[in-house]
Amino acid sequence: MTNEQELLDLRYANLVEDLQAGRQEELRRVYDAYRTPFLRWAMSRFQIQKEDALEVFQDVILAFYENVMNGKIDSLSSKLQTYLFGIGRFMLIKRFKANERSTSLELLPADTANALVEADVPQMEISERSVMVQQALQRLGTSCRDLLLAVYYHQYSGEVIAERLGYKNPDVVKSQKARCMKQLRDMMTRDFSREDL
Amino acid sequence: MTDPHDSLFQLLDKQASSQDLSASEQQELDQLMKDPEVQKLAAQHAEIREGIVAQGRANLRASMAQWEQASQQTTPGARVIPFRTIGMALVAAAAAVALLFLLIRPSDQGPSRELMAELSQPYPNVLMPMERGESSSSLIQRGFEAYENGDFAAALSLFSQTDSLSSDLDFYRANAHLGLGQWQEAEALFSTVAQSSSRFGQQAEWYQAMALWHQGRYDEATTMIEQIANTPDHEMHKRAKRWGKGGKG
Repeated sequence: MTNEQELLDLRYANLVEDLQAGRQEELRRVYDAYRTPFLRWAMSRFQIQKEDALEVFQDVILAFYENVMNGKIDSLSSKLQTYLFGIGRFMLIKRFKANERSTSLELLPADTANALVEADVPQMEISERSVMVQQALQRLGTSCRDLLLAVYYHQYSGEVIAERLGYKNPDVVKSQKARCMKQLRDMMTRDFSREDL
Repeated sequence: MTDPHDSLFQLLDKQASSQDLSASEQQELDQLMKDPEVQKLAAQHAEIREGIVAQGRANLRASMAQWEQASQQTTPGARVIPFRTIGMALVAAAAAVALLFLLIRPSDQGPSRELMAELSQPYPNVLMPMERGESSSSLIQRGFEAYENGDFAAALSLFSQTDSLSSDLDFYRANAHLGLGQWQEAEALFSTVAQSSSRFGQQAEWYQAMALWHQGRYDEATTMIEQIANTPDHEMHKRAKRWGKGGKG
């Protein structure tokens, strides 16, 4: 790892807290900072096209974000670059195993192996039912949709949601969430019933 | 109106979000889940959660697609840099450096003008090599892009806008000063880098000697070059030896 990258990592000392507080612009900073180094590394290491490398990089960012938000990462014990490239390598091996130039870790920092944890890579497959839920979500009002995404995808705390979405307090968030979920459940029940017919 | 199954959903949410259920909560959930109807509701709840997560991912992917587009729009000239353009820029930069050396170097000391120009070429960018056709989104990346194009003034300006304190980046700042013929600034920075833990510490020693030479501080420069020439495993040993062979004095 270059000193420059170490420096970039230092700038992200509060990244986990920032993201959990809803400052998604920080994720873009990470994206911009590591995009080119990752693409360069992935393209040369796995002999793949830029489009493929970019797709994997975006999956890496997504996995990183979700792991931060669901509490799997409560602080960046390893360097950010190490973590991102570790997850990336895991994904690349799954997709382009035959292309890899070497199976050794010599091009990665020493502690990268610690980041190669399958549990850190979310399952991205989308079921048919998920598609139906997504369609139902589109029919919900914006406020309910935003709230459910904030609760179940971003996993923001009640305080953060109240502040960002303009609810009076976390208790209101909680009750509003229950109402929105009920609406969505009713929609889904109707949709599933129609499907069964 | 509250849903009669609210407590069930709350327990399921808590369980799904990697939070530990207390013993009593786990017991309550286990009890509830004995009911087949509750099991169906729990399965549906899990499907809905999964669908919301899928939508969240889709939204995030859409954001990343926008970031890609935005970075392409903000750096319109950075999309594709033809090698020919870079080559011409490098030749122009080399010529400018050579000309500056020609004007300043005393005629009766050191190696030939050609060798001098060659040995004093700013160090190539190995810290953050730019990929051709790649967008350069960060200030540092854009700085290195300018550096590679021989636009040292722009490189310096961009490097200065970063809040980086990296001694590796200082090495390239110093090189940019060198490329602009700003010998004092270059020498001061090279000196700092040479004393730091930078990976370019030894290279900085060489370039510090070059900058000293151009300020007319020949004795100091010669001493440094001789020390490098007498250190076989020094990164710039070969250059120092070539200097010695090409020198007249």
